[in-house]
Amino acid sequence: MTNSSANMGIYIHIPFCLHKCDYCDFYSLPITDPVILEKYTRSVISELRRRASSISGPLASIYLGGGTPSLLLPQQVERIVNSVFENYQTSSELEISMEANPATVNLEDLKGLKCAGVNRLSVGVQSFADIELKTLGRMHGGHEAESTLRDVVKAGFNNFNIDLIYGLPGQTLSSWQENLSLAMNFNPQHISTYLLQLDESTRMARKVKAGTINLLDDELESSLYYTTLDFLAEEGYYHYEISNFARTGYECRHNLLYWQAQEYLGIGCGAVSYINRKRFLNQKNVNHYIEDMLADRPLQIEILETMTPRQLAADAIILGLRLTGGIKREEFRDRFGIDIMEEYRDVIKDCQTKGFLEVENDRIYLSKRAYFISNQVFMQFMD
Amino acid sequence: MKGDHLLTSSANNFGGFNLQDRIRNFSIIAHIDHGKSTLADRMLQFTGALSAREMRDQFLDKMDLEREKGITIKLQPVRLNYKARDGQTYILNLIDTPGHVDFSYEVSRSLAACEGALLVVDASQGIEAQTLANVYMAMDLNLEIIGVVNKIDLPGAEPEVVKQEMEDVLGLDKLEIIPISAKLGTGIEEVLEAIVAKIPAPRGDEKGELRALIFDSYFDPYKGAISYIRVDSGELRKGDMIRMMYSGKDFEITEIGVLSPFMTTVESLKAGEVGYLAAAIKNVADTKVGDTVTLASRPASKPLEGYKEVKPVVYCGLFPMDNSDFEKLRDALEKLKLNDSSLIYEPESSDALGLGFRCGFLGLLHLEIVRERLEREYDLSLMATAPSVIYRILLTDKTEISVQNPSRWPDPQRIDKVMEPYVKANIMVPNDYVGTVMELCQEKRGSFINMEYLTPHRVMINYNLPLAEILFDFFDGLKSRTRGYASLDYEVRDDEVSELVKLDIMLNGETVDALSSIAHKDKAYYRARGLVERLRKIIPRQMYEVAIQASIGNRIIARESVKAMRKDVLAKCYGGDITRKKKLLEKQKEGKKRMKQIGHVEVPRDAFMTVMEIDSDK
Repeated sequence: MTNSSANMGIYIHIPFCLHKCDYCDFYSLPITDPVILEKYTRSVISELRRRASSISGPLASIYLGGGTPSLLLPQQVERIVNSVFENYQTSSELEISMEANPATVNLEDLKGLKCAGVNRLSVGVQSFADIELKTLGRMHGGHEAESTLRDVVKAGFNNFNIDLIYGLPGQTLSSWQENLSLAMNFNPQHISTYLLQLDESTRMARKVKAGTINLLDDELESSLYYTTLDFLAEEGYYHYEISNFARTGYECRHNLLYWQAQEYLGIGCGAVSYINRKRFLNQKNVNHYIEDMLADRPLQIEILETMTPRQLAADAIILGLRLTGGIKREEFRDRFGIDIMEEYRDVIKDCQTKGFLEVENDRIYLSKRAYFISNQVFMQFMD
Repeated sequence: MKGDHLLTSSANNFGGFNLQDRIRNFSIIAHIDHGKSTLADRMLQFTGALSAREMRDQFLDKMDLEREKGITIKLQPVRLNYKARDGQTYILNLIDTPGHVDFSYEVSRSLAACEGALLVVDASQGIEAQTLANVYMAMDLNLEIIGVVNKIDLPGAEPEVVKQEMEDVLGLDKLEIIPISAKLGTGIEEVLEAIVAKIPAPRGDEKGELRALIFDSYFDPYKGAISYIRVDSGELRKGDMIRMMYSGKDFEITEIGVLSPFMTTVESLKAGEVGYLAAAIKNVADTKVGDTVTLASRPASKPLEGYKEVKPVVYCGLFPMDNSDFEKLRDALEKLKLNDSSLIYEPESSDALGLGFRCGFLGLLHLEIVRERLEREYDLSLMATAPSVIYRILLTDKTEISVQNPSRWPDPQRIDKVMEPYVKANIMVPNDYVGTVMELCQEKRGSFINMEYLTPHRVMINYNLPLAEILFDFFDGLKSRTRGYASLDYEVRDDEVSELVKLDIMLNGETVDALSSIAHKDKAYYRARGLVERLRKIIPRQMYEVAIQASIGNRIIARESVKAMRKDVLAKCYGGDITRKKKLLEKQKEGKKRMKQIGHVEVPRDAFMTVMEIDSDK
């Protein structure tokens, strides 16, 4: 089994949290009941088994996300991972990622996860400053984040990510740089920095609307972003996607699959799959999901979109341009039968003239100044 | 249709009596919202013109637009058969007057077709300036005025106060003013009785030469132009060859009838009667309001008085958002024009907006109605430039030109003098607000004519004002500064010499012709400031900084800038939410479609109208 043909991934959704964060609009429930967690584990294993035939070819990645997957016991994670191995072909260099929140795991758990096969951790630090964590409604403090990261290193993980959020109310250039510097102390292989963007449904968005908290202005947000680019480049990280940085060779393979518009299976309640030109959503109600899976009833899904070949190509552009490496003309033509330079000649030329797209050696990519206003470029590729 | 209507079968012989004795032709004069449509509805119901099944609110409002906005520009005429308390049946012809200053000529022609008028005043609002102007017009035409106080059921109603005001201002006998509630149906019979008792029957010679007044017309796709007429003298029969005395054109009548309220054909219409005629007339311009219909074989010696060519007083450019819709817009204007001879248009080319039409209107309401109908009935998305009046410019070479498009303004070096239209504005206001109103009029370059106390509390202030100032935001200013108590009427007068300059707007150094406007020299700086400020607010951030400058000739007098967009990013985009993120982008892209690309700048389509709104925004 070679890596070159491994271009599919499995995403496993664990929709449980200790508490929903104030900025979060993902699907999750405040459930920690061990009975439900166990039933859910068995349900996921059941779904993995049933859907094995829906894809062919080896997997490049498994990703356990949430929610808070670290609420599962290491042995439950192990059973899930084993089920993947039993039912799917896997690449020899299979990436097994898992999200973990500070204060939900101790050193013992982390060692257990490593034994379970997890070879990449993504730690939801968000900030090292207590006041910022409080604003976000996170359950942990700055010191707990640091202690979890020390444990991650101690447990022997040599591939882990730190998630940080910028654009928080009251944040300044120097308080953000402080966060970045603290992250450097743990020498992570990967860093994701996300601008705080609130969906209307979130608690924090309501506070902004009510005027009890204020977001930063566009100028400051933009300078926080570009400062991050410079800072992390200086620290030896390669900026490979709008919000993602890694040491060479440590890009997140799972997320790369998304941006390369590859197919993936979404397992678990509320998970989204992208297979055979369709995006679809699994049953969102966790009780119904568990009942259906354990009683061997069919999985309820909702089709989100069925795409035409042209939409597939447009998706691939919008996603592909998020990568700093951009899109290769040849590869794109092979996959979508479209010569991007011909098909989108006017748009590309216009963006190029304005200095937002670069074209070189039959590859197109966003210019650095376009990253933070990239929607303006993406929109032009949509019908 | 309604076969039981004695008039449809034997209109010319009314039970052996002289027909004219039984006819009452009347108008309703009322301010918008004072209850005209509701009163008309009640009269239709009371006289049994409509069955309950046929009845709907605002029955006589002709356009959906009117019914929707709840305002009535003009009601369809209607013929009612009313059995009065004296046991006789009368024909009551209701001929409405449009309740807006844009259409004052039409008001005069509708009134000319009547012998009397109902003056309907809201019991909590009192008389408004527009109403007053129309009542004076009716009095000048010797119409019998019947005072009606409406909405007496409302909590704020003060019928006695309003009656007193009607007596003081108009000389009506307050004891004869009828209190009604059209909504509840109270007092309707009293109104009908008063119409019969007080309004004189028409007195035209049935045997005389035919003279019939056209007081309205519209286009019917099957029958051609339909004219609403009042026969002044003589008799009109189906098949007659008629002549329009002002236009000089002849047509053969294909159908005549009455509206009761549905079209009902009759064999003839005699002196005093009101009805419609169709004569396969292809263009409403041949049946102009105010023209006199006579017989081609026996033409009248002279037409009825009062005919006037109505001319547009306001112009604006209308451009399709999508340039490929130009022909569609042309077709739509042609169709609207069939029904509206006062609408005029000619192709116009703008550097900024492409091909469109320069259109002339009777006033702002007329403009607004046409624009809305084009968008709604013809599915067009339009951009309108700021309205402009017609300026007369005497050039240094002694030739004179008219300019109604700021972008056609000549080089100042070539201008000897400029004349702009003025109006006499009649503003009615409670005496507490006299100072405020005068202040506003001064700001708008007005000169005081006189002031008159109509009652101890109500004042009529007359000002000479430039029409352009009235068009922009005068009315809004007046309303807000007087808490809605002031009402305004105006009549266009002569042109006066003014010191006017052309104000240009540049976006990133390029003049946008569609944003040019004409301003008074002394107010140009202030106006320019307001304009660039407003544009800064409505032009969204773009990928580049946008410089907004206002200039007179080569001199920049105001500038602002819209900073470059700094953020438009989806920070997170992963497998689970690609669909949702794409929807966000799609929505954003939809918003972009409402923008007009001018050079490299995206300008919201409404920007071109905002040139007129700046003063109210301060």
